[in-house]
Parts: sequence; C-alpha cells; structure tokens
Amino acid sequence: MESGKSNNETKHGSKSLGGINETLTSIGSSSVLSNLSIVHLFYLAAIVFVTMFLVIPIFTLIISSVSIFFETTRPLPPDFFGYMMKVTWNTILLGILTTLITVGIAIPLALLITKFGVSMPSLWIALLTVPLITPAFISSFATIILLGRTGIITKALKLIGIQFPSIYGLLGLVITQILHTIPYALLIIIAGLQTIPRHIEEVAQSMGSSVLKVQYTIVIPYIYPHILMAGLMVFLTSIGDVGAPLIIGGSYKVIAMEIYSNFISFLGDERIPLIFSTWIIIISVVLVFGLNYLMKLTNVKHKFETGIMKYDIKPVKRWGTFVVAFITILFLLPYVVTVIHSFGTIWANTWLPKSFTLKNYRTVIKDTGPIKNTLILIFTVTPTIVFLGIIFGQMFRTTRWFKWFNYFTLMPFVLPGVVIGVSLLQTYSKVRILGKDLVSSVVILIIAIAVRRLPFVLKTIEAGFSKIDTSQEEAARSLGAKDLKTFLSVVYPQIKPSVYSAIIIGIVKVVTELSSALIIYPPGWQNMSLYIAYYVSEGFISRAAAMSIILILIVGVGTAISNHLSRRDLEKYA
Amino acid sequence: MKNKVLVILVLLLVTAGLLFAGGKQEKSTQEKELVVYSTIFAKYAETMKTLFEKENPGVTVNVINPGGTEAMIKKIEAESANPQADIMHSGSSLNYAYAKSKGLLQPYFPKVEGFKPSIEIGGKTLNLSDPEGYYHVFNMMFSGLMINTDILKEKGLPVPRSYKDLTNPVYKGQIISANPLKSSTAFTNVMAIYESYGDASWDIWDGINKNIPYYSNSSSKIYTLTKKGEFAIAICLSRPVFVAKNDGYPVDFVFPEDGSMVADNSMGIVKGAKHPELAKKFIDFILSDAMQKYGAQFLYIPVKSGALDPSSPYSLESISKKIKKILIPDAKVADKVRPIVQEQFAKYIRAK
Repeated sequence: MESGKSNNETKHGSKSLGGINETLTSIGSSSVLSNLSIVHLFYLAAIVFVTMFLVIPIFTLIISSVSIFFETTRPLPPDFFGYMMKVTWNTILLGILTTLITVGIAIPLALLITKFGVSMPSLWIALLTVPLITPAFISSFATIILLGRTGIITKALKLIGIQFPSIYGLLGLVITQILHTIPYALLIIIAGLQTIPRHIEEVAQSMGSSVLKVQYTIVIPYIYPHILMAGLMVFLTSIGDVGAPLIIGGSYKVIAMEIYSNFISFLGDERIPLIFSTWIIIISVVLVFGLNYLMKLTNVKHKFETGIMKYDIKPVKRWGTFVVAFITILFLLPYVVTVIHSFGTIWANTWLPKSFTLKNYRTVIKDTGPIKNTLILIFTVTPTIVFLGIIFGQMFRTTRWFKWFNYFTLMPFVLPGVVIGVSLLQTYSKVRILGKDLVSSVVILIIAIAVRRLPFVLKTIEAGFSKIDTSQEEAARSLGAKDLKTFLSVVYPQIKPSVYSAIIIGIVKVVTELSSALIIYPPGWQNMSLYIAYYVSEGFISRAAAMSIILILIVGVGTAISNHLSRRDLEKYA
Repeated sequence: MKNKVLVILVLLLVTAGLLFAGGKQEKSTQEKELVVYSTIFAKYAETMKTLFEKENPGVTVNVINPGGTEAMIKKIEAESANPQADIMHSGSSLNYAYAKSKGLLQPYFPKVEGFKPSIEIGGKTLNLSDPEGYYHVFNMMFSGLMINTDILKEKGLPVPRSYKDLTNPVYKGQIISANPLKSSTAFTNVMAIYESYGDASWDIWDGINKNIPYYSNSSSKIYTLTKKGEFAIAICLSRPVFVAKNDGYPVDFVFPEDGSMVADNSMGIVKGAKHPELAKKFIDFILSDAMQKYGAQFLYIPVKSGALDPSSPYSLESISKKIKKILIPDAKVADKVRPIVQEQFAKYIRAK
C-alpha cells in the first residue's frame, strides 16, 4: 500500500476525490429505499439514540421552564448583566489558561514518549492517566492538602520564607483542571503522532533538516487536527467542570457552577440556569464552529499506515526520560497524598496523618457491590459509546446532511450532569420497560452515563477521522466493495489508534461519572464514584481516598491492557 | 433525501411508541417494597433499612441518596408524573415546607406513643408536625459556630462567643459559611441572627461578610475544611462538629450567646406514593423510641423527651441547659425574610 506520490500531490488528489465522494453519497441517498445500506441503519440508530435521550429531554426541560419568565414579575437584579459578563469572562479565562498550559505540556511529553524512545513509555502513559480516573473532588482535596493554607508544600515554603498565594480561586482551579485534562490531551496527541508516516520525516531529514526542525515544521503541523481536538476537549471540559469549582473555586464563579447551584436550589434564581445554559451552549457552538473552520484549513490527509518514525538520539533519550519522569511525578503528587491519606486516620494541620491504619480499606471493600456495579457499567456503557462514536465519526465525515447534528453532542460537555439527569427523569418518568418503570431500572442509568460520556469518546475518534485518506475508500468502492466492507477494511484500520485512545477515555469517563448518576441511580446501583461522593460529604476523606485508590487500580489495569493491545497492534505496521 | 427523512421519522415514532406503550401497572394487595429517598449518612440509612425490614418480614426497603436535600426535591419533582419514592427523609423542615408548596407531599399524622406534635423547649413551643401533617421532625441539631482550636491558638485569635463577635475584623479571611441561598444550614444561621437582632441583623451580616472569603456551595465542605485547619471558624450546625470532635479533631462547637436556633431533620410521605401503607408504618418506625435512641448514638438530639436518659450529654434536657438563648424556627418569619435574604446574599456573593 505504499505510494510514490509526494505529500503535496496526495493532498490535492484526495481533496477532489472527497468532493466526488460527497456527490456520490448524496446521489446515493436520494434514490429509493432499497439503496439504504446497513451503514445507514447504523447512522439511524445512533441519531435516534441521541435524539431520544439527549435532544428531546433537554429541549423539553428548557421549554417547560421558559414559562418562568412569564410567570415572575420580579425583574432581574440590576447588576445582572455585569454579573453575567464577569462569570462569562471568568469561565473563558479559566478555559484558556487550562487549555494553553495543558496542551503546551502535552505536546513535548507526547513527542518524547512516542518518538524519542524514552524508557518505559507505557508506564508514563499509564501513570499520567491516573488523574483522569480520580473524581474531581478527590484531586481537589489532595491539592488542598498540598497547597492549601495549612498544606504541606505551603508550610514547607513558609519555612524558607515564601508565602504561597491562596489556592481558593483561579489558581487552584487551573492546577486541578490541568491535572484532570492532561491525560486527554496526551492520549489524543499520541494517537495523532502514531499516524505520521515515517517517509515524510525521512525525506525531510535526508534533505538536511535538523531533528528539532522536522518536529515543528513537519510533525506538529501534521497533527494539527489532533492538537485542535485535544485543545477543544480540554477547553470544553474546563468550562463544563463543576467538581473543582465546588471545592476549590472559592469566590471565583464560573458558568457551569452557577447553573448547577441555581438549578438545585429553591432559594436560587430559577431563571439563571435557563439563561446560563442557553448561553454556554451558544458559546460552545460558536467555539466549535470556529474550530471546524480551523480544521478545514489543516486539511492534512494521509496515506495508509506505514509505521512511524522513531529517533534514536542518546542524550535526548536520557534527558527525555528524566523530563518525562519529573513531570509525571509532579503530576502524581496529589495522588501520592491520596495514597497516604487512604492509610491515615485524622489529618489536620500536620505534615502526616496522626497514625496509620488499614481500616479504611477494610471498610470500603466490606461491600463489593459498588465494585461490581462499576465493572458492569464499564462493560455496558464503554462499548456502547465507542460504537456510537465510530458511527457518528463516520457519519459526520461522509454525510454532509447530518453534520449539524454534531453540535448537539456538545451539550453534555458544558451542561452539568444534574441537568441532564433531571431532564431524563422528567421526560421518561411514565415510560415502562419489561414491566418496570424505566426511571427505576438500570437501563436509565446506562443511558444517562452513555449520553453524558459519548462526547468525550466522539471527539477522540473524530480526531482520528479527520485525516482519513478518502482516495483509498473510493478505490475500494470502485472495485465493488460495499459501504460496510469499505469501512471495515479501509477506514477502520486508519482510525484504530484513536479508537484505542477512545476506549481508555471511555472507561475512565464512565467510572468517574457522578452528577447525573447521583440523581438517577436505581436501588442497589451505587457505583464506586457515588460512594466516594458520600464519603466526602460525610467527612470521611480517608475512606474516600481508599475507595479512589481501589478505583485507580481497577481502571489502571483496564487501561494498561488496552494500551498493551494497541501497541502490539500498531507495531504490526512498523 | 426526502425518503430518508421519512424513514427516520417513522422509525423514531415506532421506537418511541414501543417504549411508551409499556406494560400495565403491577397491582398487589400486599406491599412488598418501600422506596425511601434520604440524604442522611450511610450508616444511619443502613440501620433504618435493616431494622425496618426486621420488623416487617418480607419487605424490602430501598434507600436512595441523591446527594443533597435540594437534589432530592428536584428528583421527586421530576418524577412527580409517576412517583418512584414513598418517603422523603432528612433535611430541614424549611425544605419540606417548600416541597409541600410544590405539591410533592401528602399528609399523615403519626400514631406513635410519646410523640407530640409540638414540644416545649427553652420556654418556647416547637412544632414537630406540620399543622396539616405534611411533614414531621424526627431529630434536631442547633445552629452555631465550629471552631478549630489549633488554628485560633496559632493565629492568637479569641474564641468567638456570639454571632456578633464574628464581625470583629481580627477574623478576616478566617470564617467560612455555606451560601444561604443554596444551603438550609446557612439559612438557619441567618434566621437565628435575624430573630435575635431583627432588621439590625443586616448590619451584623455586613460585618461578618467582610470576614468571609467566600460562600461555599455545599455545607458539608465547610466542616471538612475547618477541621483540616483551612479556616478557623465555620458558621454551621452542631452534630457534624460533635462527630468530628469525638473523632479526635481539634474542633469544638460554640452555642452563640445571642441565640442558637433549632435545626430540625424532617420527613414526609411523597404524594402518590406507590406503597402508602408501608410509608405510614415507616414514619411511625422512625419516631419510635428505638430509632430515637439510635439517632442519639450519632449525636442527633431526639425529639421525644424520655427517649434518652436526661443526664446524657446529647439529651434534649441537657442540651437545652447548655444554651443561653434557644431560638425556634418560625415558618411565617422565614417566608417574610426569604426575599430579603435572597437579595442581600445575592448581592454579597455577586460582589465577591
């Protein structure tokens, strides 16, 4: 499957073929029913799923609450507009800071890990996904233990005369959010790096470019779609985050938090969730609109997998390993604290807990129900959303008519889970399935988590789809291959690295889903993150820490397996 | 293209139809299941489940905790077309009055020996049952201040004795409170100050507000932060502080000299409950002597005098001796003050 064409020609060729492809698809879809292939049925199923369980519930909720505006005569507070602008600015500033720093750290890390042969790459990737597995309030508490007013680092710095600024506010939020979003950025960018054909770099090098120059003139531009997608995902996660603002946000108000707290409060202003929800959806749609435009500019299509270029430069390798290890350790500090806490008794204003014990672990594993439930949810929800993600990814790429549907999948990023949970309960409260109320069966929980987490998986897979070489697809089709066959034999192998990343992100996002699960879980279906939330709210932080560590271990094993499979799979091409 | 859209629409309708058709309502003469929505802590929830199941063989109690009283009300409201819960349990009567006004509860008068719809406390009358029977108080706490003794000592700060003491600028940055618009814990404290000082209470709040770096959106966090030492003082309720103190944290609870308000824990039957008979039994069960005593083990103050030995430190009798001035929540005053609180605190919070 090697091609002798230069990169430039390929780009040009695929563009025009892409055009033909779109025309063909539209001709195909305008003909009679019998022309609907099995692929279209998949599209349909995916659209129905999201329409029924996301679009309809949210719009029902919005429409049912519009009446508030007509019922109340109370005017909005005089300083409302100023407040809204302040909150908006806060949200966007936080999003931008988190995104820039996260992506800025993730790119060099990913390069070192994938291309410069640092020692034990799988270990670093696995360790750096740990923050993703931990519920936000656990990391926030760990950050408080390190950097709070009586934190370990704060006290240590005080000893040498440095006063660390207060973390309650922007600083604490940025720190916690970087921790939580670096894994996305890293996984997506690594998936991108794994798709760069080696010959491009070889050519550049043979023409005398230095290794560093090759990185920023060839490699980084080549993975622009991945970088943009990673940035988008980090940004959306940041502006939709409720967990960190709840604990460490102080008086720094962000949109998602204002929606959340006014939505479930009876003294809050019920108009605020409505105004702010609409507002944050508009902001994210505009953002994605702009991003799609940027994506089009970076029209890098590529040829079939040819294995990736790896460099073997001794000093870079040695220093690279050191740098990667250092950053990993820095990022893992809050989790070291969590481990210590999980073995501790009480920990107040001291360097270490008062005494150590195994009691926390004994208490949390006495009941294996939450662990079992978490595993069941992983095995039901993750395949569902990865499958849906692949279907949507292919649909948005090939079927122009449904591109706009993509905007709906942004809502779960930016709307608090409790809003989505309540919308589902309200819409389906009368529906019965298998002789049971849907809202008190586990099906609704699976649906809620799937809807909430689909976007994370979809965005990861979309990054992979953005660089598909359509000419091969056309070739396959012209040779008589059916849609599904073309997809499986030509398209799917090209997006495989992204699918593996999506599985990892899928697993961790499923186990950490909290806010919609809390409001929607049926009897007996508390999972581990729910228990962590209960322990935190009852003040048993050390028990919550123990439960988090068990969660990290379980998911860690899962992602390690997935990582291992993906490496083995990708090495086949090398 | 038209055809495709048509097919999609048809399939959508078919799927929706299939789902909405549903099975028929199960009907049995004997109620076998009770669904309790409760935000009480896990240990208590577990015990009330086990004990009630033991008393009623063949019955399964499912306790669901949606993570907060307000979230619980939101869930019941969202499900009101086809209620899933039988009982709403735990949380301030203020929340229950709201749930009642939204038509989410149904009345019942408990038939329990020794339970009176109102009791005398500190020379005042406290209503335990809503006059129309929509909700009932099953145990109590008091409003006041949590102090971290280590931090006060370290910073050389005096121990506050009253709410008014909190206006002292020496406490700047050291006081944490939940947001009264989001938390009934904080609202109860606001009402306590209001009942003691009337309209002058807003001047006191102007002073306290200057010392508060931010209002937390969750009351449970303020206990955790204060016992860790991140703040010296929290404006809160008594029980979690007693628990932390018993665990060995350097904290204590101050009953403010200018008044400490009763903060109750209430419960009620959900309107349209599918298992009304068991629900009534459950209300009676929670008010039984056994459960009152059990709650006291977790430092809840029982509402039935005589449920605990009067000499026990957490009995109604000995607690009321400790408090200089007991304040009783008054739903009418609360209704009157609520818009002022909304405006006042929305202003404080927007300005932070």
